Amino acid sequence: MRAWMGIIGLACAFGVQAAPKVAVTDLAYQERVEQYIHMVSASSNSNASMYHANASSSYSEFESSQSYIEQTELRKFSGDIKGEILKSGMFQLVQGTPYTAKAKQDVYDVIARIKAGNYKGADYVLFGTLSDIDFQRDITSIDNTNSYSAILGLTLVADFSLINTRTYEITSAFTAMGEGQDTKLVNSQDVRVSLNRPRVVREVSKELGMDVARQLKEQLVGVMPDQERAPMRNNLPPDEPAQILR
Amino acid sequence: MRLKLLAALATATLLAGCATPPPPAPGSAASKVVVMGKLSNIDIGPMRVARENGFMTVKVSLTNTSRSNKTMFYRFAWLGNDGFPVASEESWKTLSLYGSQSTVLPAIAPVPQATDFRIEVQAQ
Repeated sequence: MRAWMGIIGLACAFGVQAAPKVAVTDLAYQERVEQYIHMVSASSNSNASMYHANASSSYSEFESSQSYIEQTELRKFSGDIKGEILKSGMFQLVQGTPYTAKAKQDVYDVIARIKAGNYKGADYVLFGTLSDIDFQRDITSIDNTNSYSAILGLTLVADFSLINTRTYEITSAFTAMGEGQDTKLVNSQDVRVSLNRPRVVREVSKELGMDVARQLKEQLVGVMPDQERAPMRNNLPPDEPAQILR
Repeated sequence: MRLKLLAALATATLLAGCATPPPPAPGSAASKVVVMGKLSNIDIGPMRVARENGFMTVKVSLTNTSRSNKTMFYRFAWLGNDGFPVASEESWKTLSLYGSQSTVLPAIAPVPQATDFRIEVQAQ
């Protein structure tokens, strides 16, 4: 009886053991910001009376060009990453302090940010940096018709590292990509075509989240479900082996 | 009296036997063939059915059992799960078979929704 109670107690203890907590950062990036200021101010003033006349004019010009590197975080694409991580059930999520203009550290210096207490309560930080983001807008003609297809595409690539907040060990690291596009068939009579930009952004976000969760699972658990190994292309039905009818 | 009854019964049985041939077994090669008119001396043999790259592919073997050359017309009808066509009607194609020649007719469904097919044939 006691042995059974002990076993049940042990099982409960393992069951209660919670998943590790992870904080997901927004995608860090830096960009060069250039400012050009050209200010011209001119004024003239004159007055005249019967015996007296005066006139004055002033002109001043100011020109300045300034460029600096701005570091910040892209706040748009992390929602689906968090969602997919929650769905996988491997981690609990903790909200970290976002990087704002007031922050003193380097956005890429994740150790300094962990030490500064930006990710309190997290066992791991999923640190993402933006590698590339590109909008494409193409119009291609369709052969033998007077129609065109207008395409708006967005591709985003980001680097991710899962960092242990105590030992700073990188548990997994990968590059994930999200792609989305909106296509419309356009006739030569169509005056204006507006492609659905928000839908493209949502598609990219969703794909990025799924790719992150898939690669995390692959690197941490080491197993991939069969259906994820060969993604379905174009929604075609799966192949069937040949059978001979007689 | 008994003799008459037996004779009537035998005639009725014979007539019933001659009326219509039994329908081909479902799933057999014969169940996929629709002969329009009369197709003589052309034997439609085994068929290879598969789904490759998402599309249904069919190969039908044909044999000219006579020694003379034969010309036949054929077309495929592609059906969905509900047994109704999923693609527009194909045009008729001609096929010439030399005396005693065997050949294989390949076909690919034009749409991935096709799950079944019929080959319609008619001889000249």
